[in-house]
Amino acid sequence: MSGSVAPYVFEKKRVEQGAPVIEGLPEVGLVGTITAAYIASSLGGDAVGYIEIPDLPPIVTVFESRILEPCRLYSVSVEQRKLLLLYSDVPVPPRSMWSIANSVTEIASTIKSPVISVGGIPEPDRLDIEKPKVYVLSNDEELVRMALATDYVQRFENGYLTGVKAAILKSAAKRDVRVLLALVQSHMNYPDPGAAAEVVTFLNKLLGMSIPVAPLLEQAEQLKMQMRDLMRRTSTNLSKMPIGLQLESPPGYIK
Amino acid sequence: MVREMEEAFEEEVENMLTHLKELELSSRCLEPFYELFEKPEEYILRMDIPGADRDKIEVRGRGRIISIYAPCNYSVPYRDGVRTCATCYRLEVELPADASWEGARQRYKEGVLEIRIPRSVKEYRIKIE
Repeated sequence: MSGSVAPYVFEKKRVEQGAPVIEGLPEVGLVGTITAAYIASSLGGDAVGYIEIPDLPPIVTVFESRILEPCRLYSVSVEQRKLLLLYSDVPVPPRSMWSIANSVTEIASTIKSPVISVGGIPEPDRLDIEKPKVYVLSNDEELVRMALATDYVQRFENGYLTGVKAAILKSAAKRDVRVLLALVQSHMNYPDPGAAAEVVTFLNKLLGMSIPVAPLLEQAEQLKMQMRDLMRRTSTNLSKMPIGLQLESPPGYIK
Repeated sequence: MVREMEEAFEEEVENMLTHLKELELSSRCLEPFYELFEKPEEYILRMDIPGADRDKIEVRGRGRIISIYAPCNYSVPYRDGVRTCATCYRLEVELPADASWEGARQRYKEGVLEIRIPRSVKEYRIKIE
C-alpha cells in the first residue's frame, strides 16, 4: 500500500526545474485548498497536469464548460519565479493517501524541487484567536532555517501529524525530497480563509512574493459558502482518520 | 471482509450526503456544520453560518431543544451559470438534561455563531481528608 504511486501526468516542459511544489490538498479547515486556489486565481495559473486519485469512482470537474481532472497541477509565475501548485476539488480518500503522497514526491524528485505542504492544524479555540500561529516542520534543516528567518512562524516541536502530510514526509525520505510543512491554527470542520491568509503571508515572506492578502479576507464569507460542499465531504473523510491525534501529545519518554 | 464493511459504510455515507444535499436544494434551507462541546460549567454549541444576516439570527430554547434560524444570502456558481440560492440556515439540536437557558449567551464572529449554555447542576467539591 505505502509503495504504490497514483498515476499522474504533467507537462514537464512547462514546469520549471526547482520550482517549489505547493501541496494544498483538502484537509483541516480546507486551509491548503483555499491557499492553493487563491494563489492560482490571483496569479492566473495554467493547468499543467493532474494526479488520478485511486479509489474514487470516475469523476470529472466541469468549470466554465471546460472538462477538468479533479486533482490538478498548476504552474504559476510570480515575480520571475515559478511555482507548481497541487489543488483538488475532491478530498483524497484515506486509502489513496499513500499513493497520492508518492506521486507528489515523485513529481518533486523529477523536477528537483522541494515540496511546501500547507494546511491547517485543528485548534478548538480558533474563534478566540485573532492571528493564528503558523508552525513549520521540515526534513531539511536549511528549509527550517529559511522559514524561521521570516520571523513569522514557529517551529513545530511536539505532536502528531496524520493524513496526506504525514504520508508526504515519509515518502519524501525514500526519494530524498526536501519537504517543508507549514501548518496554521485553524477551525477543523469549517473552511478557514483567515487561517489561509496567514499561510499566504508566510509564503510571501519565504518566497519573496507580494501576493495581496486583503482580497482573500474580503472574499472570506463567499469562499466559505463556495467551499461548503467540499468541507462536508472532507470532514466525512477526516472522521475516518485519527485526526484527534493532532490534538494530543506524544508520550515523549524516548527520542 | 474489512474492505466490504468499509464499502458498505461508504455507501451509507454517500446516500446520507446525497439525501442531505437534495433536501437543502429543494427546501433552500441549509443545515449548518456544528459542534457541541461539553465543559464542566457550560455547553458550547458552535456552527458555521457564513452569509447569515447577523441582526436576524434567531436562537430559541424549548425544553431541551435549541433551535437556530438564520436568514442568509447564499449563492454559488452552478450548472448553467445561474446561482443556486438558499434563504436560511436552520438547525435543531437536543441538549443534555442539565442545560439551563438562564444566562445563555451568543456571539457571531467571522461567519461562526457560538452559543454558550450554562449547566444547571453545579459540581460539589469534596475535600480529601
